[in-house]
Amino acid sequence: MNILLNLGPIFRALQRQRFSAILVIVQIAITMAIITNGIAISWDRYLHIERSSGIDEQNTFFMTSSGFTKDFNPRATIELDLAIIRSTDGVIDALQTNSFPLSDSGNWYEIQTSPQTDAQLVPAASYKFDEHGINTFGLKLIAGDNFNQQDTLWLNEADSQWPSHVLLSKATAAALFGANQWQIAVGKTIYVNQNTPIIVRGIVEQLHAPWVDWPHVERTIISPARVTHNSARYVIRTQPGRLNEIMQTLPMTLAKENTQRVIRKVKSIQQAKDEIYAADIATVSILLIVIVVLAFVTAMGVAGLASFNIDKRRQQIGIRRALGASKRQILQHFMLENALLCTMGALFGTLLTLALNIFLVNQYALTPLPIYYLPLGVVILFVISQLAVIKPACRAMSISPAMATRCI
Amino acid sequence: MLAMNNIGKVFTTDVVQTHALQDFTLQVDEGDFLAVTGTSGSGKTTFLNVAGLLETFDSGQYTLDGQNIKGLNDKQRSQLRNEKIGFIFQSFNLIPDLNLFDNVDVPLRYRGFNGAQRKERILQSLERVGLGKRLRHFPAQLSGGQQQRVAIARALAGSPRFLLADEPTGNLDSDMAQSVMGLLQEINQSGTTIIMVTHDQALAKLAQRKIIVRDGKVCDIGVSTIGLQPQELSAPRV
Ligand SMILES: Nc1ncnc2c1ncn2[C@@H]1O[C@H](COP(=O)(O)OP(=O)(O)OP(=O)(O)O)[C@@H](O)[C@H]1O
Ligand SMILES: [Mg+2]
Repeated sequence: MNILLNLGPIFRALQRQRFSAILVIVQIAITMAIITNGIAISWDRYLHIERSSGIDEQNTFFMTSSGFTKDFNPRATIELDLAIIRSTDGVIDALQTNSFPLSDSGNWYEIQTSPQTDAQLVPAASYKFDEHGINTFGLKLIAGDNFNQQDTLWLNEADSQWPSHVLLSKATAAALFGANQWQIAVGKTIYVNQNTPIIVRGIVEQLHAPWVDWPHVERTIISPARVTHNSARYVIRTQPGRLNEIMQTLPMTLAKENTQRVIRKVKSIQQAKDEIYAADIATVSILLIVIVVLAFVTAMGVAGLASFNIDKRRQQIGIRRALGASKRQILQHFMLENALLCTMGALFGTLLTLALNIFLVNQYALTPLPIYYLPLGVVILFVISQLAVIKPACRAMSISPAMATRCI
Repeated sequence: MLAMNNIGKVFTTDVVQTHALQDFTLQVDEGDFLAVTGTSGSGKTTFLNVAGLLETFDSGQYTLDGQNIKGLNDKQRSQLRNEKIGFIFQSFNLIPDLNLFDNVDVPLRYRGFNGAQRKERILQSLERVGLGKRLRHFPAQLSGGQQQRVAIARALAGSPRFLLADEPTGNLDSDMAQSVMGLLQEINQSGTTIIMVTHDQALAKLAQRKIIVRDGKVCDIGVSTIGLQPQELSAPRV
């Protein structure tokens, strides 16, 4: 027997129990709206946190060397430090840089393809490091060439000079030359500060800007420059599994080697990332707790109301048994009744989900809900409510047919 | 044919054991109209429940329509109940949230009839009890007598071999009781075997056969009222 054919009388009987039916429908709809949007927001945040910054986050750390004596020589220190670091056992490569992804500090420039004032301006974060960058960050060079040693330009803090060649992230090249022709950027002259010409030497697949929430986070420009400064930041990439050990020993080695400076702010990229995303992680955790609690409360509500209705209908269940219903048919009856309520709740819930999403998008500038979240929400609520009703339905199933004659 | 041989049924609660049926032996033939009387608590409902497969029994032999009941599982009993037995209860026991059409439909759906078959049977049986024009009414909109007629229609719709009635007129005034009784007689004449528990001696007399149950046993078989205690001749209980 096709059980769905029995929906008719169940539906008609529910119309006579409107109040409790509406209660379940409304509860399911509200839960669906909150859970579906909550899952979408959580997932969106999760992807935001988990996306790649383009560098080898697991095996990389950084530290700051700050000279404090009057005759401290920044350039000599940097050169010696890098030589020591690069020859340390377990270090893959290292560099000195003004900034790096997830560091939350740095600067950006507007780049254009022609020096005219009306040319389209493309903002891009600026990194200054030498030819070791590709290897240290684990970048993928997808067009053109890397810098070489002679390209490196030593600058003072006050110098606003640009080297003759730069690397671009693919997103920067795409923003300048069009999404499908980023390759043509190689060899082209671009302009910074409106009219300073530079030639594009190569393109890297991905390298994030220092600020994770910057709308143009994918856009970066790398120049082979070293800014001498009393403070220098080193980024070090270790062989897998050696990070913690080298993070301990290397600062001590450097400190000993040159006592005119201190080594500070030794931190792994992973730690920096955790700090930057702390608020996001907290938001996602709270949302997930709300989702689980709400799912539980709704399951309890559905189970409670089903229980109440079953207790109220004990004799009716006995009558149905007396009239020939098998235990399974009684179970099916209540599962089907619940499925029907859930379907109505889900229809209403779909509208409510969209309404809540429109509100959230307008109010908090969230991304609109991808449409496939709606069927996902329906399925989740369906599963929750069917699971919730199993126990009461089993109780209904075990009511004796003699109930028809015994209880009046 | 329904045959019970030394049936025993014991209810055990925390405090007491009640032997609701003891060595209960009875044979009901095809086409019989049997009235069952007895004092309150004597075991009439228990007998009817066992006969109608609503309850299991603890000892003895029970054969219904040639089938040995002992050893059937719940599903088989449900199916047998659905196909062979119609029930009529003192308090009508219609489902309040379903209209008359859907009420009569309940056992037919469990039977697995298709839509057209069900509709035909529902209309026919409601017609037969004189309520063919009230399909969309709900039980609460009917008088007690009418509700009991719907219950009879529901019991008959699946063309059962046996109709088991537990004080079907107990909640009705005497006019309505008479008309329900008339309907039962008519149903019996068209071939359905009826077993009816009643306190009403006048109604019991209208049956072909009568048994008296006392302390869970059949203690008298026949049509006479000899041997009845005076209180058993009193008016129907409500
Ligand atoms: N579920 C039960 N649990 C325990 N004892 C029960 C149960 N059902 C019936 N009994 C007992 O079994 C005995 C027979 O009950 P039964 O209902 O068959 O009597 P009856 O003849 O139908 O009475 P009445 O005329 O009042 O309806 C009674 O003593 C009753 O208390
Ligand atoms: Mg009784």
